[in-house]
Amino acid sequence: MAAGKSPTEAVNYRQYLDPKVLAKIGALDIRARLIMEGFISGMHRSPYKGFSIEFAQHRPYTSGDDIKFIDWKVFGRTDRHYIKQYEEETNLQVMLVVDASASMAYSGRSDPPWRKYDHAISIAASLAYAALQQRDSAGLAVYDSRIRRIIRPSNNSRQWRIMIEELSATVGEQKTDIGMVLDQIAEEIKHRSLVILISDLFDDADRLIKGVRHLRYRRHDLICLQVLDHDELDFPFNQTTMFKGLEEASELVVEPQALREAYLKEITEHNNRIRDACHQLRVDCIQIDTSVPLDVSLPNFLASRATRMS
Amino acid sequence: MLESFPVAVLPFVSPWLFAAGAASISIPVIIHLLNRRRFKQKPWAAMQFLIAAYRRNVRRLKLQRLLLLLLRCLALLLLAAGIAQFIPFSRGLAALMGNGSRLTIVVWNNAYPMGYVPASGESPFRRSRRLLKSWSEQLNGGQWVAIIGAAQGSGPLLEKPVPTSPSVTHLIAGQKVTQRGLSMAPALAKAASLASTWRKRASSVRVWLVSDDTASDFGCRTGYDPLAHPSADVPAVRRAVQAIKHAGATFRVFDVGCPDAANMAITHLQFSRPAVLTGHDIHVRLTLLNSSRQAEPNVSVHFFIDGVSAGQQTFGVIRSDESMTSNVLLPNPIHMAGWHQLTARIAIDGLPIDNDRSLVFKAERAIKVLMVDGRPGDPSQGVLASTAWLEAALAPAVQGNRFNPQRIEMTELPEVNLRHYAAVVLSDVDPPNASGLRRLTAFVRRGGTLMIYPGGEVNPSAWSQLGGNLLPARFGPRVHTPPRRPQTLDVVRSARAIMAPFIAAQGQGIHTGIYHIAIGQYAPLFPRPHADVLLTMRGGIPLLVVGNFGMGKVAMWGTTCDTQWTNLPAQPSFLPLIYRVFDGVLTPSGQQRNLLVGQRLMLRPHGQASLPLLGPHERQVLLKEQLVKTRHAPHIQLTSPTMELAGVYKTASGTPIAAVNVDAAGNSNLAHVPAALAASCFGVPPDRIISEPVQLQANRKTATGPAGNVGWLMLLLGLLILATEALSARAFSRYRLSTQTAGAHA
Repeated sequence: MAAGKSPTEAVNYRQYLDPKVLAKIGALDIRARLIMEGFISGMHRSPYKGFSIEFAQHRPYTSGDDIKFIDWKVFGRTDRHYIKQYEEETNLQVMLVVDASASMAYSGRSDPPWRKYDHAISIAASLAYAALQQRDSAGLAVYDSRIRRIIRPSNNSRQWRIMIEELSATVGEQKTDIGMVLDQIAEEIKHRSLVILISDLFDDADRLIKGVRHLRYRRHDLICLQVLDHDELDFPFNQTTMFKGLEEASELVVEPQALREAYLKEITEHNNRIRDACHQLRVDCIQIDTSVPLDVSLPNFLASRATRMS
Repeated sequence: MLESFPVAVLPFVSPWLFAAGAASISIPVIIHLLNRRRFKQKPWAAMQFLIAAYRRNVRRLKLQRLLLLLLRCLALLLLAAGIAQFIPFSRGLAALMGNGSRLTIVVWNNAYPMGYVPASGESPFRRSRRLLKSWSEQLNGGQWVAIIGAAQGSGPLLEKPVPTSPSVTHLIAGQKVTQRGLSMAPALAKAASLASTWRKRASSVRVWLVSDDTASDFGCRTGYDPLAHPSADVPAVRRAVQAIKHAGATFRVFDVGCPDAANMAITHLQFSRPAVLTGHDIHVRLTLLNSSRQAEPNVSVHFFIDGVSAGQQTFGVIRSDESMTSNVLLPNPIHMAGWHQLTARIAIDGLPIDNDRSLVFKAERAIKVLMVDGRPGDPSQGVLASTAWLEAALAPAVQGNRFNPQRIEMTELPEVNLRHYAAVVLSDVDPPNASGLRRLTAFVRRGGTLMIYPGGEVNPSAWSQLGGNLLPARFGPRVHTPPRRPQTLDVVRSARAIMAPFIAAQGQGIHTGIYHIAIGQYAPLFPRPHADVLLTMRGGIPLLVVGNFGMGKVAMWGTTCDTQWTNLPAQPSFLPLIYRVFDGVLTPSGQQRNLLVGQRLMLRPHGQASLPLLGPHERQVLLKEQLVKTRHAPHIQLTSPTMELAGVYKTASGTPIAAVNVDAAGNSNLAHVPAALAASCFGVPPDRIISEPVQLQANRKTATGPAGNVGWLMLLLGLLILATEALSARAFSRYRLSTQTAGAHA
């Protein structure tokens, strides 16, 4: 876990890429649901036909068409001019948006401590690596109450290292404000991109949905990866406990089991509301339990997404 | 006492256990309070959801917390009640929750006649104790038992019903026969009251009387048929048995008596005259009872003064189931004034305790009488004082006078110490002032005798203005009778006890003059209620009225004690009549010191705060100062505990202080009442009388737990609540208690 270390310390880049995890991610294609605009050929279909190397269809020549696209073989056989159209594969621009707010510092009861943030940056690193391996562009935005650092998408060979260094160096201590951050991201990214939001989504649902809607309005594809500790999903405490808010200056002494059901109802309602909104906006919203190993959760997510794309 | 805690207040077999258990309900409260202080801290990310959940449920949580706290307390309370074995308040509840409890109230005759040892060797008491002990051992720990001692004033042995246990058996085994008399009707009434109280709590109540069924059980002093004696306690016994039935209890009598019991007892021993004087013969009245099936000839009674034989009297034939009273003269046995003891003794039989009887008395040199004369006369003029005739009668010019009269005038009375006198005579004097009245009142209350004569010097009606209850009658205005037809003494209607010898003498032709008494003037007496009219004039007009006041007596005459109003002093019968009157109104010697078993000895303190006495069998008794509240005025007395052993109690120097005897007159008739007759006396069917029982019945089928199944049900319910609460706490967290303290958001 590099999180919490000073930026000057050496960074073990591989620690976020468990070989098992990356082996499985490498075997899967990341497919955007929308055709992204790109400059390099790859596995991603371009929305612009006519300039790609993969044949798509013929259409009759019309005035103004470049004659270099005339299929002369067809002309030889039919004595008619047809234009040969190709479907061009584009590169994918992936923007990883990672929540570094104070709530992500929750580490649950694992030994050694494994924060939600640790889990989030592992996912971000994995996905960035996979994207860069297939020559897609990857960018990074780290935020809490505001965007603390943004790395514009690139497929440069050093891009992944830069992203990893940034993820390792960033320690959020403030309250999250996802809605505002998504608004800023939507304004910052000029090209249509696949935005992957990695957060616990502990924020006001209305503002969050508003940000998501803004991103979709800009025609960005969005995937929400909600990273939650198992404690937050199960609330397994049974002794009288004083809960001290990580983001809020509040304390509450309760006998947890008395409130367990009500708490689970509250958090489930919150998650359901976000998930339903995402569904309406054609946004994938996936809940990731930090207690589940990455080599299980990520491949499952990517496999299900690939199935949907196909 | 097995269980001194009032079961009526806390209806449990073990009230103290319940009290301790009930105190445990503080445990959840303490845990609750401790939990508010002891908690661990946890940084938490999803605080917004926790706070929202809390805010929406804070009321429910508080209510749940309260209910759960109450539930836990209730569970502990039920556990405590179950362990302490709750007693159902009503029979219906007992029946609903189990088959309830059965209460057996044993009325156990522990009076001294039960100690009679027959030829077979086992007294009725020992037999009853053996049977009760065996019965108690046979019970399987389920039944409830209360034991009421039937001896007079002995009180309940087990006041509140308790479940049968080895302690009950131990208590029964440790009982001993008392020296008190029997008081059956009150004991049965007490059982009826207890049965009535417990009727709703127990599924059934039964009352067992374990007794010897003697005639004296029913207050019959002679013979074996209580129904033939109107003075017997049969109606009271029947009423008590009816009350037992009315309380819904069954009644049964276990007759452990001896049908062939034979007992000879001294039932009465008293002095014929109130005072015992040195150098004088002692006149004793003695009553013997022959409680057996055959006549007893030549019963010898030996008398002892201070342990030294003082004479012997042989009674003739005393018929079966009859008593015989005789006057005995013991010639000149006392030579020193002071306290002495007299004991009469007959041959020992199966019930030795009533074979002797003792009296303690104080021997005086003479009976001192103070005569306060309002008309002292003038000897030089040959005018006699008003009390001259009385003085001459009390102290004739012969040796060996019993009385020692002293005459003073009214003005001298305040200077005289009245304690030195046995009687004060006020003749033709004004009523005393307030101070004098207080002294006279105190004198009479302590046992002195006050005798009042009217006269011509004062208006008798002035006496009527005295307040208080000292005087037994009120004087009316003086009445003059016609000289030719004076008032006369109504000999026949006057008290026969006083007149009987004179009437008998007249019958023998001896002139006593009682029929020639003429009363020219008199002050009519109007007796108060309860006053005795000893002598009456013609027409029923009282001539001598006597009333009790405190321990003494007050006598009021309707005429003078000289010849001014009447010729009575001049009659031959005057002297013996005065003697008889004085013997009747003087307080007997040692009256306070001759007690029955169960009474307390009370003496005037003489400077000492306590007085140790040595009784029979070296039993030590300590008299202590005690404030006695009476309707007159509180005063200090040396008071003993109840005297439980018959015998003479002496000081360390050997001076007899008190004699305690059994109440033989009411209890020594051991004539056995047949079962059928006993059934009639109790007012029950004959099958309710179990004669010569081999064992006492114990209905094992109904001998269940002390509180039926109620205790177990409560125990189970308490455990069930705790278990349910624990399980539900694990399965459903909403049933758990929550505690909250204020945080920044709360």
